[in-house]
Amino acid sequence: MTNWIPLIVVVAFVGGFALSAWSPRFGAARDRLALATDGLAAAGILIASRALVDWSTATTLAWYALVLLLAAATVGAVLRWQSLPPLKDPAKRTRRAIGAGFAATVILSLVAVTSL
Amino acid sequence: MKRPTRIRLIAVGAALAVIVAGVLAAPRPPTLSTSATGDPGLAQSLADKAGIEPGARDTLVTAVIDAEGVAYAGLGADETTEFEIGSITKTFTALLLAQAVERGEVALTDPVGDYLDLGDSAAADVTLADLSSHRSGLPRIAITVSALATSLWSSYRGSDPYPFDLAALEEHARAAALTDPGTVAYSNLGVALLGQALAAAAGTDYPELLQTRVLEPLGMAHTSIAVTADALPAGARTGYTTAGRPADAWTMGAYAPAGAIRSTAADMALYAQALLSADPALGVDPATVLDPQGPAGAGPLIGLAWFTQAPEDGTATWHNGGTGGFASMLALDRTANRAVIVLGNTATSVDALAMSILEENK
Repeated sequence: MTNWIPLIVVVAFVGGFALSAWSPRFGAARDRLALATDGLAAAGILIASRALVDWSTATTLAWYALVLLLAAATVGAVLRWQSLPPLKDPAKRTRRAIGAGFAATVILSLVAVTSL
Repeated sequence: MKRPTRIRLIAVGAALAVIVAGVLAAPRPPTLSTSATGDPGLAQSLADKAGIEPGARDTLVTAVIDAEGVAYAGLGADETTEFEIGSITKTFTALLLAQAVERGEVALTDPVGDYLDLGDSAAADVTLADLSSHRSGLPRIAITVSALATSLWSSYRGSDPYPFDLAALEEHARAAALTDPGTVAYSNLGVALLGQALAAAAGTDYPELLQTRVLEPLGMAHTSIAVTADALPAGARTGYTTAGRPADAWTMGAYAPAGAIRSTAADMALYAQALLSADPALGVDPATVLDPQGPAGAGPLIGLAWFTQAPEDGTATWHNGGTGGFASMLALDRTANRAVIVLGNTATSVDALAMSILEENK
């Protein structure tokens, strides 16, 4: 059962980005920063999953399904981008920037550690 | 809302880029090689039985040793191909223990604290014999925070979970509690301590001790041990996890006596032949390591590192091995004077495969 946890985490992140990009309400990105952070997290986790998920011959199909889901989410993100404000609440600019920077650092570190 | 054509093209382009990158970066687990080497019948048997245990396969090699000689077969590998033999290394450490006793350097009842800096910890009083027969009560692996974190991380990354020097190994031992000493509980920590204690008693390091007392006398010229990744030759062979992910080489630092030897089927056949024939080059009667020791009763039959099947299961004396990317099995039928070695470069077990070949060739 524990072998499936990394794959479930990847599905959650890529699915979350798809929601963020396409959903009209629930889970939808409120601004460009959120959309970009969700996209970076989904792509980063998927890249890291090459090393962290048990890709047996059977589950390799799940990889291609996740790639298609990420591609579909990317389409939605590009289409939604211009309709979103850079930041929904400029008063929280500093806090949001720090949060996004921290998330990006964690994701990129994970990618570096698992891929280099 | 109607979107400009430019935006739509960017969206399609981005999606295509994701798909192309995803296809190029797709994980590709290995499949068992169909390139047979050696004895055709034995190679076919190897291919037929490879699926006994689930998990990724890439290359396999086997050696069947009997009174008539040695038969080799491989799939994508031959008797000269190098593999990590993992915990079969423990049988070499056990042999070094028997030799050291024979030389008068140590006694089986010596506490390991006589040779290593273990202070007044519980581990210091464990005897060398109990370290070898897994009756020390020490845990399987160190239970310090850093060691557990390293083990957890390496289980995902397929990296070496034992990148510790001697000082760290001693610290792991000092921090360890003993659980039910006298009962068999497999311990990599225990055998690592044993190997380092034997090296200290001989005034050398473990790789040198192994080289001069076992590998050279037996003519195992293609067997080696590198205790750091930097010491591995460039291009050293690596394998795959059970799921088919690439795994790093295991060199194991101070834990090397528990599992860091790299060898070939041809060299392992020399080792098996020496054990079956009581070759004087071993320096001791092999019965001193192979025969079960300690109190009979519950638990496996175990000598100095070597396991013996319970009578209802068979007659084999065996030890297996597993690293992040390799699996191995050496099984001896001492009564019939036969042995089987199977080596694979994925972590998928070859235990049942080896036992099946041993049974088949009765």
